[in-house]
Amino acid sequence: MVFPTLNFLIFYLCIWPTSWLLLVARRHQLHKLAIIAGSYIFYAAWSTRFTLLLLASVCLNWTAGWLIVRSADPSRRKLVVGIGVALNLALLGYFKYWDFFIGNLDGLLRSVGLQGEMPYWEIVLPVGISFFTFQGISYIVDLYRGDLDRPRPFVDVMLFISFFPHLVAGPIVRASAFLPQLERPPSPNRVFVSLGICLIGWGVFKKAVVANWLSVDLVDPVFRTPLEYGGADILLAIYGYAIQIYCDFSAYSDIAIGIAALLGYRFQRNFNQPYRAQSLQDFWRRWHMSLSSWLRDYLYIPLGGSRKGKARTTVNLLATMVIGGLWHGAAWHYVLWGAMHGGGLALERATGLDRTAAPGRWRQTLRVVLVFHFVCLCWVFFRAKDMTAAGDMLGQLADWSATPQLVTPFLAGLVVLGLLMQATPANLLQWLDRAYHALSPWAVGVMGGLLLLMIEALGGDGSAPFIYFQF
Amino acid sequence: MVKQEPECELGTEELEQGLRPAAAVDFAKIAITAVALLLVFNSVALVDWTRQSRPGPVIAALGQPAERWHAAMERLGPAGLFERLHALARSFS
Repeated sequence: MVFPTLNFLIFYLCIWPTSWLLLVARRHQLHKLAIIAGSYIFYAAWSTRFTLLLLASVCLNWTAGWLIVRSADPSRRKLVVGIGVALNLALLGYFKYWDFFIGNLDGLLRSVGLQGEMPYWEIVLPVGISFFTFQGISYIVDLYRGDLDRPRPFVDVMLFISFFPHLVAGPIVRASAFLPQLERPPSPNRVFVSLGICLIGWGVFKKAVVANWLSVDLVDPVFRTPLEYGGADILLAIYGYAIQIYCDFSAYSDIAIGIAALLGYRFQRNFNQPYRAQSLQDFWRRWHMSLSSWLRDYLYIPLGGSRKGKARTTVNLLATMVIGGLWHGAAWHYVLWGAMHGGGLALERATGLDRTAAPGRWRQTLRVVLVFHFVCLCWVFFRAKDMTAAGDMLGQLADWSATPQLVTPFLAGLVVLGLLMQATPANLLQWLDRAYHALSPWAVGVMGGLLLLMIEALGGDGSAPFIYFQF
Repeated sequence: MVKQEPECELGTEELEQGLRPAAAVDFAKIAITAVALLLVFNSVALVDWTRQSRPGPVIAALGQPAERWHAAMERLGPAGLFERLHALARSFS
């Protein structure tokens, strides 16, 4: 079940009134159970058998949390949290990395002349496992650190990990940010309706119009067979992918935040105009913020962060970003993508570029352009199906003899539109909120309906799946 | 040492700053109006959905009414209007 589809609309239009009616009837516990039931129906639409895996993850983390708080001995608490995190990672490792590990081991053994039957299991990746595993870890680590004051009831932990808006593609919600929201029922008279509908509408536009057209008509054909295209097509496809992945993933996040807001729950924002970043550090504070802050707080800082000297800081940055790359997928091109970002961040830190603001508008603009192009270079390795394909893309970039096949005003316009999205005014939401309150809900409904019809008419015929579902 | 948990008061998150909350029922009115417009103008989507969904009793029960509804919207005009808008967008792209 994908967000901007009729199936999801029907699902949401059932779960939304049910959850609020139960709150109006002062049935907070039933309200939570209704959302949990909805979340499992939502997940079962992908895979019925993996709902048991999701339930197992909930049980594991709830039990670990309970044991952590029950243990008075600090070393025992540390042991329990260590085992809990290890079991979460083992679950993720088995489903996501087993065949990658075996494949590399096989290659290594063959290179030294050893051959044998290797246990390739062709394991199906459960959708969303990377996201709900990280959220489970967040619950037990937040309890261990004291960011959560006590273990939460099973129903609350279940709702936190399984909540359908963030379940399959994030944003990664922190236990310490979400679970306190379950203490009191959301008020039916204090809902951020304008925020919800604006984020949903904007997200549907970015996905259905910009990301879909770029994906189907430009990025997919060029990345599939780069040797058939010249420099102009390749360059536009690289820019196109940068915009596509932004419009695709930020759209999912926006819709998720919007549908949670309409149910009375709050997620933190996940994107903040990332392509206007003046440094890579700035980029990671704007791109997939829930993952980058998770990696910072649960990996980089526990590794020592920047507190143990320059050499160790470099190692920590590289390790964090390589693991971040590997989190996206079990393939070497993701590892290289992470290493490039880690190397770039380490270089920035060594030269002090991450701390000093560029003087003057031109130098700031130059930095934005340089950071954007470095990020685009990294995206080539992220998007290409393997290292050879990435090499082909970059090799063809130098060949400007071929006639452009896919460079059209429409596709170039979509890329420009994606870039202009990085410069929308900071108070746009407040402006839209004032406009919303100046109209009646019926009038907003008419405008919303017309907007959805326009998006439907403008959207491409082909529909690309959300990129982050594969992670 | 247990730390203080973050406050959950409305309007504290970055995205919500400066926004005014409303009643949940407002969204019900918005959704009813928007869905009605979609059903009138984009009735073809309903037919496509019944044809592409996995067969079952609900889909079987909805198939015929969806076809009849779309035929009515075509006869009255709104479905054709949307088709022309869609074709215009296609020619532009």
